[in-house]
Amino acid sequence: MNIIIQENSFSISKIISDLSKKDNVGAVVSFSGYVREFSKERQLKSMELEHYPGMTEKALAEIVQSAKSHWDIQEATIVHRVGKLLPKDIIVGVIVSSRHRSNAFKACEFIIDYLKTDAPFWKKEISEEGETWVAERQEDVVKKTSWNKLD
Amino acid sequence: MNLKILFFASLREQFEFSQKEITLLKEVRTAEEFLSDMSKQSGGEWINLFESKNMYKLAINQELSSWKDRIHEGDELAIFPPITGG
Repeated sequence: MNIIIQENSFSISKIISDLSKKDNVGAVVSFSGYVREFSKERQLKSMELEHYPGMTEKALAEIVQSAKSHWDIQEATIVHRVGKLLPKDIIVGVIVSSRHRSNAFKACEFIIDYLKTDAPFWKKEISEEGETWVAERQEDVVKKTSWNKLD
Repeated sequence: MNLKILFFASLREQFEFSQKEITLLKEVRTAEEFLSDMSKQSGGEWINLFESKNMYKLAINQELSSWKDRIHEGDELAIFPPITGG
């Protein structure tokens, strides 16, 4: 498990390549999230990402542990950026390797769904109209809750 | 009773601090009682927070918790709006 919180950008293809070289890896599945140029029809100038140091790393480790208890995966890497981001910038990467594709697909989706609601990050959007803290999306809560049937 | 209080995002801006050691004049049992006590002791933004606490999340010692959960001397309480990462 590799959990990285950083201000700098990163290469998702480098992480995929590194994980693919490890033993017994038959599949690598990745999710990458980016800053959209528009939010509610307002053109974004930038985005500020805040987090809770310490709790963030713990929450992400628990999410990966939970994914490992449900699916047979080899490795999981999460990289999440904080600080100032610009439109089109990468925000987050979740990369999962396994022997077979099905486990990596499911674990990757599970990790990003839980990250969205349980890992303490907050986004603020800055546009010409001013600054707005992003509100929770009900779809994200529903998506996470849909995994409850696993337990 | 001494507690470490952390605010994030919109609450950090409203309270104009991100963390503070707070000494309560009496012992409290739960996070909810803490908010109630602070709204009486300090007023202002604390009253608004107490009244709208269900809109916010709480972590006790870095674990997501509920307002009814027990708190103890020296605990770290973080209060923040719903999470919006990813």
